[in-house]
Formats: sequence, C-alpha cells, structure tokens
Amino acid sequence: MTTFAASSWNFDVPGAPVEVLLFALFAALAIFGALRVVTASDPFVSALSLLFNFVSLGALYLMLGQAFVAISQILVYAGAVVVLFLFVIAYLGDRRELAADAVRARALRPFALLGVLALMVTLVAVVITADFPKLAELHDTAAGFGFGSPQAIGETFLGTYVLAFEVTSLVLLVAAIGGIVLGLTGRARHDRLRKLMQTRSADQQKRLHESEERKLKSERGVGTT
Amino acid sequence: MSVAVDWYVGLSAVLFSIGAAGVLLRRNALVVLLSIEIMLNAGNLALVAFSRTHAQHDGQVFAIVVMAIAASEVVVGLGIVVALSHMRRELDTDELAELHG
Repeated sequence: MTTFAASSWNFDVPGAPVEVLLFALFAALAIFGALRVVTASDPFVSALSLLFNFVSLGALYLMLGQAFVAISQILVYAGAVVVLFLFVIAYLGDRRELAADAVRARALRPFALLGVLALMVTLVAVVITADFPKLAELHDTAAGFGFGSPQAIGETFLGTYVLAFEVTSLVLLVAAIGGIVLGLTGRARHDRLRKLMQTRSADQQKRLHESEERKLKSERGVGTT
Repeated sequence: MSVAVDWYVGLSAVLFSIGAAGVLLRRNALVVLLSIEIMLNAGNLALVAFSRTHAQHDGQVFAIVVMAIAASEVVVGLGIVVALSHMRRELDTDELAELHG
C-alpha cells in the first residue's frame, strides 16, 4: 500500500475553518438543488437541478475522505442517471405542467405538506438529540490507512459482502432485461417476445433430438420382437 | 475544527424530507422518479457519514450497492414512463390508476 493514498485523500486542514465553509457551501447547494427539483414546473429544469444535488453530495463524500464513493457518485449519477433522464425528457417532448396543475389535488395538498413537515421535524429532532460518536482519527487506526481507497473497498466488498455483490449484479441483469422488454412496442414486442419463448438453446435441441431417436429405436425394437 | 457527523446526518435528514415532499406533492411521474433519487442519495449520505465515523468500509460498500439499485430503478422506471407515453397518456400519477382494484 502506498503512502500517498492516506496523505492526499485526507481533507484535514488543521486549525482552519475551511472544512466548515466548504460544508456550508455544498450543503446549501445540495438543498438548493433538491428544492429546485421539487418546485420547478419544467421537468428539464428539475433534471438539471438534480445535477447540482449530485455533484455537491460527491464533494461532501470527498470531504469525508471517501474518494471512491465520490467518483462513483459522479460517474453513475451525474454521468449516467441524469443523462438518461434528460434523454427521456427530450424524447417525450414538451410536457410542461401548468403551475396550478403541478401539484396533486388541492384537497390532499395540506395533508401531504403536513406529513412531510412532521417527517422533517422528527428526523432533525432525532439527529439533534442523538449522541453520535466523534469522527474517528484516520491516522491512528489500521483501517484508516488508505481509507476510502478502491483497494480497501474492494477487499470489503468481495470479502465480507460477496453475497451482496452477487445479488447486486443479478439485480442489474434483471433491470437490463426489464428495460429491453419495456422498450419493445406494438408489433415488434409481440413478435420478439414470441420468438424468445420459442427459441430453444443448443442443449435443449440436443436433448430433444436424443429423446426422439430413443423413441424411434424403441419403436423399431417393438417391431422386431 | 472539523464538521461533526451530526451535520452530515442532519443534511441527509433534510434532503430525505425534501425528496419525500416531491414524491407526495408532484403529479408528473418523471419528477416523482427524480425525487426518489434525492431520497436514495440522502440515505447514501448518512451511510457514508457513519462509515467515516467508525473508519470502516461497510457503509461505503452499501452506498455503492444503493447506487446500483438506484440505477436499476431508473432504467425500469423510465422504461415504464416511455411505455406509458406510447399509450398516448399523460404522465399524471393521479390518472394512472389501472392497478387499483
């Protein structure tokens, strides 16, 4: 393990409030982005505001010394998810909502707002009253050396949590197949799904052939005796 | 002086509530999906903050799992949205009620 991993990925600036300023900046950006997603009447603006939220969360992950998760956040969310959303919004065309129509039926709106406010108050109250442990000193522990590096995460992921790894890959496969099936439309969907059902694998074909031959042989056997 | 874990978890709580507000209040299916992404990200932030607190990698591993699940969810969700749009329907979550008994 190289030493640069621990030194360059640690964001401790001793005696300076830089970290506090950065946290305030990125927290404000994240909340601004999230609020804009919820309030914008144009889905395109919503999707672009989500980018603010994702990027500032990535910066916060970096401040927590977790470079690999931060990079994955930028690649997966900002790179793939937001682009996919923008593609779909562009494909569907302009579906701007009227400001009055953007929210649910008027009668239910106060209850939804009340529920959300209650949720926020409860969560924040729990966070304020809870006694969280202080941030562990990274240099003192064996785990702190190279904390957040791809190597360390890979060792945990493929060691302790190898089952979760396999299940996740299965979920991704199922989602990919689901995306293809949902993407087929009309006549193409009908034809291709039927073709998929009828297609036999090479192994299945071989077995079918063998069983037919056996059947023929036994019939011939019956005929001679 | 450094930012305590309380602040990260508090930010995560606020973001989660904003995402929940989007799911409950908005009628456009696309914006509801975007709000679900905000909620998943808020959960990720809490996982990552606690992972840093204990200097263990477990939380980060689960944050990556959540990212994979979120990506799968987006693929299936957007597939459903596109399939619905082919049926010449508005993407209004109040109108899409075929599955209610």
